[in-house]
Amino acid sequence: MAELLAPMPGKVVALQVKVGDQVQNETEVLILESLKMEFPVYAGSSGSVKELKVAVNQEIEQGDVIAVIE
Amino acid sequence: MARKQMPLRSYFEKMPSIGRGLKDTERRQLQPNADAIAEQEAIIAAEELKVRSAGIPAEKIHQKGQLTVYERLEYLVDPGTWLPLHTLYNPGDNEEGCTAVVDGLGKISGKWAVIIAFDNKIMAGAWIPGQAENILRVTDLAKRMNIPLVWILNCSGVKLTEQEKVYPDRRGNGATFFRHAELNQIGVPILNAIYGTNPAGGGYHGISPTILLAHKDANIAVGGAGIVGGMSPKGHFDLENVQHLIEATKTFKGKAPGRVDIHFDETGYFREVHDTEKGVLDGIKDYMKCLPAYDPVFFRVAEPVPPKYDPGDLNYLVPSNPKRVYDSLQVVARMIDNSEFMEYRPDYGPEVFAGIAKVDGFPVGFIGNRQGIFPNYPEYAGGAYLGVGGKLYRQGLIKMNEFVTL
Repeated sequence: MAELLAPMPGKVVALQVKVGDQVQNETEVLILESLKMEFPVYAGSSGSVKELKVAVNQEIEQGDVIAVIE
Repeated sequence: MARKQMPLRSYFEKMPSIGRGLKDTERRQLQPNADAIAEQEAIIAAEELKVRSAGIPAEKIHQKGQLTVYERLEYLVDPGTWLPLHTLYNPGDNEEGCTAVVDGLGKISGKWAVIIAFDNKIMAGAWIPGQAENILRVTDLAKRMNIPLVWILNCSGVKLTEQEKVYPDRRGNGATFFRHAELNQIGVPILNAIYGTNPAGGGYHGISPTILLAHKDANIAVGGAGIVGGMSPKGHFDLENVQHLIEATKTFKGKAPGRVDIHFDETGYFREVHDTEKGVLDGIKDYMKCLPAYDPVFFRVAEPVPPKYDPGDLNYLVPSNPKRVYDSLQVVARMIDNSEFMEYRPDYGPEVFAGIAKVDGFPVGFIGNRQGIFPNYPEYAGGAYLGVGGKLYRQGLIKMNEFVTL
């Protein structure tokens, strides 16, 4: 089981996966908007999405758990 | 035995590889982006087609025994070298959808030239609003690139209903001839292939180039039939001289001023006259052979090779959403020979990349923003904030300055 952490603070502008989806290392999990730019956050490991802990429009901090991948 | 090698072979022959191929999962995720760009490309292609078909149909031009502007360009320019520019440029917002000139870069007899041609389908090649701005861009290009400017002239003069938007202004159509004089002065030749009737404004185009070649039916004069026929030597009009003007106008309509018998036989102003449309362009090709140009061998540091990764990936890699970050070196990898890049100080100023690549075998310097986030950078922030691509910090600025000046 791997926890995916927010690499930077920002606002979630899109969720690219849902619970139960199979993801790979380079799959985009969500898009974070910060400093006028949109940054994709990649799964960073392979498995299925067990939990998504954020919602669209939510402001998150660096290090917040975004998702759990198993 | 003579020994030869490419310049600085040990540096340029084989440089480090950058980039990587796209994985299927990435390609799937980026497909909507590629589709969005393809959609825009289709819109642009449709607009280009509209410009290409502006004016009267090609068959009407053929019935007059003429070639269209595109046929002339196709015959003149070496196959596969035409790079059109300003196709959709229409700063005067003309109803024609363009500036009635077709221009671009192309090779003629193996040598690069800036080429500009009147679209003879649009009012027999008229001066219309915005065209002067287009011509300024073209004369600027010839000046900056130090390559010849080639005209295919077929200019019926100003579109009379809009002449107030054509003639005036420091940058208006009159500036063309100042720019021609300037190009001649700095040694950039202007070659002109002349077709059709070129009165008034069209006629001025013929004054300033270095070499004028004409088709046998061409005429070119600062005063066309309308102007020359309308001159009154008395300075006023009475029945006698009006009668005279009517006769004169009839004569000039039948026998336009500035024809070959004047400009070749008397003034010597035309260097060549040709019986066929293609003959004039053959003349241009011959004069282009007389001009100097560097042989690529002189500057190439390696044999040209295509990028290792497919440039067709660019529509996947460059986001249609301008806020979206992307891997700029993945883009560079698809523009350069064998995707090899000699990066300058890769461990310093990570928000910027700078380095040398080969493009078509020539060395080319690249500077760009590296995108994304840089957790322990800038070092002087001490972790108070994150470095982010698209901004510049001290190291990146220093690196860029070193790269362009050292």
